[in-house]
Amino acid sequence: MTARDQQFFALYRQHRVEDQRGFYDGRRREFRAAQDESVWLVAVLEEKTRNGI
Amino acid sequence: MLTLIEEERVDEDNRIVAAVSNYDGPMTLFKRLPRLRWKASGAQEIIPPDVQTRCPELGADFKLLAEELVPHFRELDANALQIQNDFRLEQVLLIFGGALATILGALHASLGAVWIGITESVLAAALSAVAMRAKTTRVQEGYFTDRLKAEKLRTEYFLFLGRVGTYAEDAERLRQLVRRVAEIKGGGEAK
Repeated sequence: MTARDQQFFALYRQHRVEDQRGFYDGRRREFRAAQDESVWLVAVLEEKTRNGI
Repeated sequence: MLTLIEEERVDEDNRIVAAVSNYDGPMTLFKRLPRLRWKASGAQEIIPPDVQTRCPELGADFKLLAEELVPHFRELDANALQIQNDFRLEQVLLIFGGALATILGALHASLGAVWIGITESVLAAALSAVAMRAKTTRVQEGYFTDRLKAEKLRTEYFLFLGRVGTYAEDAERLRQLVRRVAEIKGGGEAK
């Protein structure tokens, strides 16, 4: 394998594969957190509404 | 409200080795609220310049890509982000505006004040205009198209660097790159 190939593969792994993985992992965590928050928010609003705020 | 994010870390054999919790700041739910006035952030890089300097063997290709592909990528990326912000703004206006109109309606019915009824009517008319605009301008479709084109250019960037497929032959690769960029930007392959 030439030096060029080695540099390309290292670059590809870090800035293509890991970059994409990091992006989707971040989104997954964020959406899961947002989903949890929306469940809490709905529960609090329902409770407040039931008790006349 | 605190947000705890739980994540399982796995090893090479997919066995869970740790469960970690990361604090992600308050109210992730509202983290991506749109801006009223869009302000573009700095120019997007596919490979940061400091990383490029660490790969001297790829220097000539980086230079060609910076001239022939990267400006188009940045343009499409910036467009996609701006249109995405417009789309979110429309949706947020419709959601919160609709809730406000409902509240005004309830107040009007219970209190009977004329000014509340007038405000509610004006708000409902404005929301109808926003909904009509959203339907005719197809903002979401525009965002998807530009994002897809930008990501296809990112793919071509790495194919060119790796001398893959049509980019394998030295004599032809630059011509192929220019052709592909024009093709993707023109929408021939993006939809």
